[in-house]
Amino acid sequence: MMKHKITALFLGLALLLGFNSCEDYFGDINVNPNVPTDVPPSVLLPSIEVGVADLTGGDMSRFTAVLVSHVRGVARQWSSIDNYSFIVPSNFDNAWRYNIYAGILQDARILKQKASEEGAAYYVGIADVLMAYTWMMATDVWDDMPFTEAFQGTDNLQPAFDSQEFIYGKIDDMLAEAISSLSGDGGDLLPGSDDIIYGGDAASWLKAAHAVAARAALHRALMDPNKYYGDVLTHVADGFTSGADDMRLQYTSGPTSAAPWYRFNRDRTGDIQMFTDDKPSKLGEIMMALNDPRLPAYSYDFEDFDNHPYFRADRAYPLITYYEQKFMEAEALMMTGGDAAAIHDAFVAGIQASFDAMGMDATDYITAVDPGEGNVTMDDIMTQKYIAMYAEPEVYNDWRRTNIPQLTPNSGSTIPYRFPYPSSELTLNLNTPPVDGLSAITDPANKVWWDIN
Amino acid sequence: MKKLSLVLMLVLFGVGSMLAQRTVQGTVTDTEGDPLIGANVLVKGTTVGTITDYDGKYSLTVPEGSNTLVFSYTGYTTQEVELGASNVVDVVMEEGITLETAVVTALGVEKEEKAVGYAVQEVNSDAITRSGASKTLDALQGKAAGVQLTRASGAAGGGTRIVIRGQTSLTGDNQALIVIDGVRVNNSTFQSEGNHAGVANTNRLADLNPNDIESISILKGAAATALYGVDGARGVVVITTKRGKGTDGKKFKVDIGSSVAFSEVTQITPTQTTYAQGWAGVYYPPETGVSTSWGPPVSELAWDGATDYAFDPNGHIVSKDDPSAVKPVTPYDNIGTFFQTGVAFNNNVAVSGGSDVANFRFSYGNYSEEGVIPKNTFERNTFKLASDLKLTDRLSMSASANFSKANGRRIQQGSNTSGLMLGMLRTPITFDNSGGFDDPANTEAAYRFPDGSQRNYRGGGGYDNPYWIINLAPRFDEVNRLFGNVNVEYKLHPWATLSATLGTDWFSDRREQQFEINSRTAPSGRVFEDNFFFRNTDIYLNARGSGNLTDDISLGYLLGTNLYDSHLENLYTEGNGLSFPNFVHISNASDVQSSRYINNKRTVGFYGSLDFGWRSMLYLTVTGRQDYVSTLIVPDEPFSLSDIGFFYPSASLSFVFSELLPNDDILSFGKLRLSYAAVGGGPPSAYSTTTPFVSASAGDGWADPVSFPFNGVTGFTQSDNLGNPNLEPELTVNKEVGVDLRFFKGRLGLDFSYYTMLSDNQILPVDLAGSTGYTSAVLNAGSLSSKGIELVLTATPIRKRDFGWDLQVNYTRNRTIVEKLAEGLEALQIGGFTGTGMFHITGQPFGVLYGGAYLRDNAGTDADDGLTIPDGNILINDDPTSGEYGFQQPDPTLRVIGDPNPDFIVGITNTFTYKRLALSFLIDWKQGGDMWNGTMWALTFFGRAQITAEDRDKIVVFDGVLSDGSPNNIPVRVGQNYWTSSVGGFGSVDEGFVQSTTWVRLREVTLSWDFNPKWFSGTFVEGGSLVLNGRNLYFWTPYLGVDPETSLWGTGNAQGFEYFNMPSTRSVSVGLNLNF
Repeated sequence: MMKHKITALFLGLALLLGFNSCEDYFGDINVNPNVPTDVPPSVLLPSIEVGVADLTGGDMSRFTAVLVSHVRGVARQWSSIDNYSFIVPSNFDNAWRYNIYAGILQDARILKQKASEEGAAYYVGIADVLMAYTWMMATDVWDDMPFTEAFQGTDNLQPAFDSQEFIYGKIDDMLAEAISSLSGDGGDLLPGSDDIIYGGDAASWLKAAHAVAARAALHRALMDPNKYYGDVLTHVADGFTSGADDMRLQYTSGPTSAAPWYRFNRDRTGDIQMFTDDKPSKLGEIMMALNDPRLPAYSYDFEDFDNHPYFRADRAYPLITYYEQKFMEAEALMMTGGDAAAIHDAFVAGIQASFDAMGMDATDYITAVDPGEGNVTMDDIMTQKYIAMYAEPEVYNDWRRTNIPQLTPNSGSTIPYRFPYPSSELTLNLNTPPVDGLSAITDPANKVWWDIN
Repeated sequence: MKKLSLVLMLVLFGVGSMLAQRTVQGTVTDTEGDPLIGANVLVKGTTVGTITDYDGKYSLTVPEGSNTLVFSYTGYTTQEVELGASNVVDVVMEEGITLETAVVTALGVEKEEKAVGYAVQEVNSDAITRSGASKTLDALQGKAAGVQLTRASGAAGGGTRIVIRGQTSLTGDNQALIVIDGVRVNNSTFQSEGNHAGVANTNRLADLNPNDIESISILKGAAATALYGVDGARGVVVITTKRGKGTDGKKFKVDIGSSVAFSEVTQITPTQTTYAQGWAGVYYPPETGVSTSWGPPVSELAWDGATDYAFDPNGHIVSKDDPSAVKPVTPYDNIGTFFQTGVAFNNNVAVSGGSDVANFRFSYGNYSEEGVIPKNTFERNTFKLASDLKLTDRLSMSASANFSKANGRRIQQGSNTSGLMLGMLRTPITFDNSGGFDDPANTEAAYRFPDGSQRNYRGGGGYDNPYWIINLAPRFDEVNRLFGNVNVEYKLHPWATLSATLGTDWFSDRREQQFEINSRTAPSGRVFEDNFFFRNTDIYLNARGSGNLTDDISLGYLLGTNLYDSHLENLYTEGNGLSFPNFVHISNASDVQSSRYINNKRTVGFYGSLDFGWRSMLYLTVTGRQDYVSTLIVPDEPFSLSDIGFFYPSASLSFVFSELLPNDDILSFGKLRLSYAAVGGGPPSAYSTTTPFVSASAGDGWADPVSFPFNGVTGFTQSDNLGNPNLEPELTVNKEVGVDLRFFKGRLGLDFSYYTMLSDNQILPVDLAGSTGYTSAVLNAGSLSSKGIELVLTATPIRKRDFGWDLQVNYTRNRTIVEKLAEGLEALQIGGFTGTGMFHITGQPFGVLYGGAYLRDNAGTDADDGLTIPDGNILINDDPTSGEYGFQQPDPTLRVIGDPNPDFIVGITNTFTYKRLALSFLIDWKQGGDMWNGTMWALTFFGRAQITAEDRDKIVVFDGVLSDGSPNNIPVRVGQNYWTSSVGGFGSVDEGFVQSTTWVRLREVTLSWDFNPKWFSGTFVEGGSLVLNGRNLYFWTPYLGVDPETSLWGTGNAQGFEYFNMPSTRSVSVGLNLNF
């Protein structure tokens, strides 16, 4: 008896464990319990917004700030970036690969698609503004980029590159669509506190869409001044009406939610300074000459990062601002033969808005630097814009368009005209143009499409 | 667990019931009449046995119903003796080969050695316990061919990596599978931080007390391991633990052992003792934060004797000609004075007993180590209970349970501003890390100012003071673990034995890392708690049988199923920004973030094996296994078993050709082995078939990223790693040929194996261009091939009554080549820093060193393959306006600059016995294998490397040519300008810092003395021994740094990278064992 029972037990166990409904036995075991397979728009939007602010205030800001001599790299890698020798492909993998393509743009595409399916027009509009903003920031330093063949995963491992002109056309489309989405009804699913930038306020986003559209037009001004300066003026009319409208992302003083420059100065203490005896920056020289009261805040020792008055941990990082818009307006008016009073008003309002943003009184300074109505020059406008937009990537575009202020290269005879492509794209996508080192980025033939200066 | 304790109860009660019995005694001698000491006498078919004493005498209680004794002794032919009426049985044994010796093969099946068609090597318990190693893997060093062991560091509790016959996976686990008593146990080394930083973590086999091991069988090739399925492709270490035995009439047998070991650090990267902190020959004091030692010679400096100078009780440093100078500066030794003599205590007690019906063994072990680094400790407590129960003639059960508790207090290391060696070696000789205190490790004022800021050589910035690290940045961990198994076996029929084995392994590993406010890694303070919980279940149901079909033909079979299920859970909580000092606790953090990770895997396998034997001469074994793996499942899609299953076969042949030869005294035994095996594999990681969303973070490589929740807002992003629902199984094919020759009745043996391995269709994460929208995808891509030679030479040159000499040489040579990576992918980084590190490169060995090289004059020409260093002349910078005029220059193309894989490894063990004394020593020779000396690379920049003092004022003309092709004639000074240039420390040329790690080391020396049992007559003590042991006593290597056996990447795949590694240790121990 015993023998039979045991035999039966073994057979039973074998059947139970082995032969009976193995599929059921595996069940959900390969379902990843750690992460969701789907998420709502409300958790995608914050990561896109913070991604955009961190990209703008991180690599984009630091590299361009060195190129336009807002700051100087003084130690370790940054002393080689300062003399342009270390502006090499491997420094741009993070921005291009993780932040832009696989990060912001991939997530914004998904957000837009999900939001469209749910009829959430404001989410769609916000996604378009953020995509347009990011594409523009990227193409302005990299020129041609994969667009039509991008985002196909393993179906297309080597996406072809599209021209910057083509990408700008797409940026125009995105912004037009954003303006339309944000002008109407937002549907049932509305952004709220997940929108770290504007708290879900569609009207603010609409203004921001116009501000970004103005910037997109301004970049192409050299190609067709009348058309594009005209577009700038059209958009600024519907853009920001005060500094309160600024498109900013509020960081906090928490260690993992602090602003990008603060984190850089904290973790790479002493690599960059605004101004040193050995390495003066052009911005510092200009501000000293003007006795600019903003200088102490700008040039405060970066090593004392906890007390830096400008690059604070809890900074509201500017993405596009009223003061930038006022300077755009002043430039566009000036270049289209606009009314002298309007030019002067916009110029003064730009300076005023910059001081307002810092909580400082501009009266004496404006008195000192204002040449008076009818006497405002492009040089005045662009110099004041150069000062106001401290370490903002847009300054590099302005300088390439206008050559104001006149900069002396930190090393060699040419300030790089653009960024090299990142090493990951160069090695993994054989369609990547060979813009890979200092000689390539200082070659005028490799200037970005709109840079015909 | 209830089941287990029930079994144990049964066993314990069973012990007392003894049956009727008789006592047999006698003497065992060789043909010359000399007594054989330690010969094994066993009652056939039972576990009852004893060994002969120094006079060759034995006495054994033979249970009722047993009437055959088996006498065996290494090097002699085993004899079976039928018991007659007499109770005295004297035996004369003849030298010869024991062809019936059994070896443990896959799934614990014992096979006659001659029937095995693949290489198996066994290591017995004496070799392990007498090695003096506290951890099992360390004890295996040099004892088996084909096995490469790498000890990560000499820090207390550091891990050891085991690779058998080279790597089989490009990015997955390459370490051997560990099987204890038939079921697999976890040998992972969990990391809490990046591999290049953090602390030296323990590999979890360390939870097994080496004193509990009876034998270790190393299954090397796939033919040997095919029945273990997927994980077996990496080789298997089959560990059999000690069990209770019949105790010869006594109820219990007790063994106690106690030892103490003392250890000290071995070599450390040489540093200069001539020049002060400073820059350009000018002294800069600590408060300036200057990191380098490019100051003046200390002989030109003096202390001013100021007593109020916080950085030095001797005062400020001034020029010796300065009026305030009172006493010449003498260099501080921050390195030699830091380390201490490590002390480790190892105490073991084991109680065993039983009859042929039931037996048990219980052991307790305590290992407690305080390392050479002050405050670095590791302690392990192990409890093990094993028992066997023969319920009926047909039904038997066995069970074992192993509980262990391991605690560590570990120290930060590696590339890490809180890394111990990093701060220590960079400290200038003009700064005293100890602050002049006698016991700085226990004196807070040595490393911390009263205001809580750090006292270090960079005025609180830079790197942590070593005394700060050991006190204010500690890591605590505790592992509680239970593993064991229950086995039931039923002999249904001579042709059918059924067995069921259930094994399980559970542990928790709780870690806490503290960084006090002002630690350089986290200036605002940080604490993290990292908790792992692991559980597996391993179930086997087997039916097997064997017998002779005719006089000439034997047949055996095995059919079975295996179910393996594992669950790993990790809960990580990090708090940043401590509100106030002296309370490094999660509740004091201003910012707390948490993450949780679960990894589930399950495999079901069905397998079978058939053994044919013909005339003790030809043996053929064929096996097959069908596996179903959970990691191939695509969630949310219906699947059938065929989608997740795959089959793989093996065949092995043993041909004992000496059976065909006439008997002679020269070749006593000869066997040829041939085998072929395939092993399949699923994705090594769970969840590779889907692309999920993950909690977002944002940032770049320059600073710590922003992470979510961001100011209370949750953020998710689609994973950058594209999952692949179309994955197919991997396949590894292994071919092996070997020969086993024994000469002169076994006095000389030679075992040779040659193998090839091709692992194809490997599943690995492949880098993608960002424009695809992803940064990587899981693909079936890549293949690896290996080939290798193993040679085991055994000899007994002398075997006399009082004196014997045994020799064993193990030779290992393996070449693993990366045959293919993914389409369009030529290189894949597996470790290192950005730009310099270990890469897989098509056509190159596994994980070569890849980084910056000197520019050669033929770079970029047809003679340059764009990958390896071209053989041209080094091109010297001859641009007089350059700051690097006269120096070499970096090649903009990164190159293969070294191969970390050794050319060969040899382990030589000599054992001499004289009467009751035995002396053995193991020499371990590793030839080749490059390492990037990142420590030296960095220390040259800081002006701390020894070489920067030797050359500081030297004018040299570097070998090389100028741009016009003429020989270099530019004299330059090899000082600060050179070592801080682009070819110096932290520069982009790594080539100059790649060094060979060839070594010859005296790995083990053991002197043991077995006490004469006569001393104890009349007492309860039966015998004992005294063991003196030395480990790693001496080594020779050309490597200019710490012991190159250390590895920054710990037990991971990336080896050959040294960056402020913890040094290794040498140790001596003395141990006393007694048995009752």
